Amino acid sequence: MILFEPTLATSKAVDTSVRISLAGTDGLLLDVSCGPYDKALQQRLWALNNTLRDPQSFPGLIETVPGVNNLLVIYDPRKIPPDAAAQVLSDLWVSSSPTPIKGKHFVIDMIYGGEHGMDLDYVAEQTGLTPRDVIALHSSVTYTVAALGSMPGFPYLVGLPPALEVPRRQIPRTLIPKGSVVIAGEQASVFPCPGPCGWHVIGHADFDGFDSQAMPPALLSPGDTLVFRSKAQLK
Amino acid sequence: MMEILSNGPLNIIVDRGRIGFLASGVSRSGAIDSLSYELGNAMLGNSREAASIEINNFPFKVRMSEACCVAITGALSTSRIGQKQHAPWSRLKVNAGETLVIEAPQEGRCVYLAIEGGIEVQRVLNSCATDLKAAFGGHEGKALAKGDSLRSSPRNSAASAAPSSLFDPALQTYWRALSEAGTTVRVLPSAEWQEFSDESKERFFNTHYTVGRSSNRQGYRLSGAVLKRTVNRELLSHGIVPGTVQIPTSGEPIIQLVDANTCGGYPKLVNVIEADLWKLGQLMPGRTLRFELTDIDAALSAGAQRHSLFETTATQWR
Repeated sequence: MILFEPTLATSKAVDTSVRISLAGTDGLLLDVSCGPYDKALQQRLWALNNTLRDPQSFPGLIETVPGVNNLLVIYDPRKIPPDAAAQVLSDLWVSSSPTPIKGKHFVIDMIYGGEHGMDLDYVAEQTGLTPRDVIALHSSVTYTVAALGSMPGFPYLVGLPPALEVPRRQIPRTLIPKGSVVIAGEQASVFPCPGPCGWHVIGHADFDGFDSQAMPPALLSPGDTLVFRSKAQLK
Repeated sequence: MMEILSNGPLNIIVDRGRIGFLASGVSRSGAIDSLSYELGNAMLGNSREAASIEINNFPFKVRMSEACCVAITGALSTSRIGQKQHAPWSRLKVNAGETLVIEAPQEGRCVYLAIEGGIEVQRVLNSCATDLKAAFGGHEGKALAKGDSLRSSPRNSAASAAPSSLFDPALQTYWRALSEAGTTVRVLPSAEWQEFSDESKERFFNTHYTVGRSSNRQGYRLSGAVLKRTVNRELLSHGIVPGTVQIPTSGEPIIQLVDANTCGGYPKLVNVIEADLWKLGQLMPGRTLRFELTDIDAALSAGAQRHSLFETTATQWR
């Protein structure tokens, strides 16, 4: 039986191996990650994602899902055979170069701690900081939207200060409200709708991140930047 | 017009699902058993993507205010119009003022109720399917409740069909096997395939996995042979599709389904092929399934075959 060879090509870029694998009958996953999140690789993926929008570049393309240092491509295998599709994807990746996106900037006003930020004290404990320091650190940096996914409009934010890294919860919460501001590992986010969550909830923002009547329906796009700003002093 | 007479937190309007918005975090949604859903439409001469009702809570009751033809497919349950009982997989005529009752299935998870002309709801993001997570699509973004009224799209053909039922031999095989041998789905290797030992893979393909209790339209947790990944590398979040079989740290597989999150982080061993995804949709907790390795060419021809069932059925029922 001939299996699809998961590793098809190696990029010319230094230290970067390209892995293209099947994601079911009509999907290919291009994974270029090599360890933690890499900004330059992400900017190359955004450029590749833009190129793919041109129907000439990838016949039969249906949709793409930019992830964190990876890209999922959904296509019609009746229009382009899988091995040809993988080759096109690999070639386009090799010829792509980092293109920073001039995204929109958002300021998100939020309340830290309290009833809707129940893990603030836990995060402080785990990091050896005071809750006040956690707030100061979390609101001191500019975050970049690396990708959207998981739930409608949910941003994967990069830029969390390393001092705030805490492994995710052992047991996820079954439901946290819309607007919950969360962190886990090196990632950060804010919930656009209610949902289950294994990350730590440190506060709450008035955040309307998804509108099914809008186009695109998600407020944020990859490359956008945002800052969190404390609305009230910690009680 | 029709009026819903029963409550059900998971009785929802579905279609083939929502394509093109995964990058905004919007799940596929749509019918979990896409084959039963499509064939219901085929039996009525509807288009392949006409909106229908996926019924997960029973008994389901609906009163028709005008005469119409319906098709009932999917899980094996008895339906009643007045005192008269009807077999699963039937095309029925319901008269004005009559109430159709669909009882809890003897086998399977969900029943599809297709209405001649299809149910008329607003398309949101290119689909009629309900997205319960973000509360949009379908009937006002919600499950159907007592008192809701729905209308079907007008159709010119007269609803004259005499009651009759379909039970394709291939479908019979699937449903007959379900309670004893379970079902088998074909799979393709996925991204972390090479990070599992040959021994683990052998165990994976030789095990009858049992569908766990916490299983729903988002995904199924399976219990059976525990698999071990030989590499300890954290994955960054990446897009996933329905049919993805992940192996979390516990070692027991999870299958992601139509309402799954659009991104995940667990290692992916295999993907269930498109043509076999529907088979998963009818597995209740406690039912078993096996995985069978296939290749992309076989997956594509199985897909073409699966696709043509709609036309074949539509022709037979014309």
